[in-house]
Amino acid sequence: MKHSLSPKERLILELLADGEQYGLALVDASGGALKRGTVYVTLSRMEAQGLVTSRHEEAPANQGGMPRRLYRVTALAAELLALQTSFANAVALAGGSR
Amino acid sequence: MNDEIRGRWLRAWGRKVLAPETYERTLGAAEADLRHELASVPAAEAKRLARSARWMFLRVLIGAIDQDRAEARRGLSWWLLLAPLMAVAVGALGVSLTEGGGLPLAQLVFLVLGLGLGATMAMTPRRILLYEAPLGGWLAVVAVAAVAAFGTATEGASRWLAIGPLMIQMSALALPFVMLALTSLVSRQRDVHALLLGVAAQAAFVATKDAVASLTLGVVAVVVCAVAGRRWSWLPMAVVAGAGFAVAGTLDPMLAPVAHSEGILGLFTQVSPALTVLGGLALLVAIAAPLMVLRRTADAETRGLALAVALSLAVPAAAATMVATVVPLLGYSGSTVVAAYLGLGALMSLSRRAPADPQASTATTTR
Repeated sequence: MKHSLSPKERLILELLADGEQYGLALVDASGGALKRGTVYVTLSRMEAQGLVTSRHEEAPANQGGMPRRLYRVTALAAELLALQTSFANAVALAGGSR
Repeated sequence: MNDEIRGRWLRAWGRKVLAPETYERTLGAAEADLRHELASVPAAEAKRLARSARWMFLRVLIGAIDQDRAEARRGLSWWLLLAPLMAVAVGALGVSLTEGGGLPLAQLVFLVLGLGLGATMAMTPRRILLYEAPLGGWLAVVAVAAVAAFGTATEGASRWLAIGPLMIQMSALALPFVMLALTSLVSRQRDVHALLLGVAAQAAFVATKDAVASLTLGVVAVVVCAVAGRRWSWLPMAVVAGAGFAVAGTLDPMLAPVAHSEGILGLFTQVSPALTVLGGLALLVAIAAPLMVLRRTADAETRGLALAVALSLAVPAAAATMVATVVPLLGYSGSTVVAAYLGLGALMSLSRRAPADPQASTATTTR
């Protein structure tokens, strides 16, 4: 388990904060920051690291027949994100007060 | 529309070479998302997305392979790369003493090349290595045949490829690829394919008049078939091996079966009998290393390759000893050093022990 989040991982966690999402929805919501060709490998790595978990949705019969994989943030990742946000805010505050 | 999604062969190849879990979480997830997207957008947009899908799948596949490679680096038995070092050092020292001058630069180049290629082989995921092994085996055979036709001729045999100051013995380099291919094919019960590859490899070795490679391949093929429990495969392999060795061995007495190694060894023993003993001990260490892997795994593919690598070191030494004396690991060219590391690297990949899954090394590849 590494101790810091990359910008891409941080963005994914922020996008998932509102609830479960699938890969292409994250790409669409990122405004170009995430790419269709790389988001799945990043999500797979994050899942291996315990930052996100995934499950298969129940596939509607007329929607391609393949269940999508839905991702959500783990409690550990939420805590890590909150800590890093607090730290970044504290650094910004300290910089601003000088 | 969904049937028009491009990149089908990329997904098929990914399903073969990626770990099932990796495939599911990368290419599988991408395909599911794309199919849903195509069903929910206008026809013109869906057509555009379907056409560009192969690039999406290609990028996902590259990333997934890289992820598997990163995983494959964990649990590798790196100590295997150390096993031949003493033999290489003694061989290089012997060449230096017998031929004068400093340590031969070519030996150092081949050592570095061997270590690099061995490490690359080791970090290649097991599934890719086994899946692509037959292709590698056939390419190796073609390369040997090409060298037989167009290579540098020495004492009547066209077995070498001259690249600057380096003389590469293609049959030595081809042997580990052919061994891996035979291991893969026999374990997947592709007996006819294995036999065809064995025959083609023997023919190529005979064409280059390399009796040692021919003998080694024969012994390896028979043992690999026996380890995999392919009772009816080892017999034709033995016939092919025997015929190949017989033909190669009688082509030219000057070239059978020791090739050029007695030239080194005759001088080797004159300079220092102690060095000869040390060379023999070093060779035993190198042979013992793959056998240690053999002891700790029940996986047929790993066991077959472990024996093959050990035999690829032992058989040339035994053949040379019958004619001359103890042979060091390397000859003049050092191609055998590279070949040894290629074999050991492949063995490292196959025998990898994943920390999270102790049974990973015993998993059978199904295709």
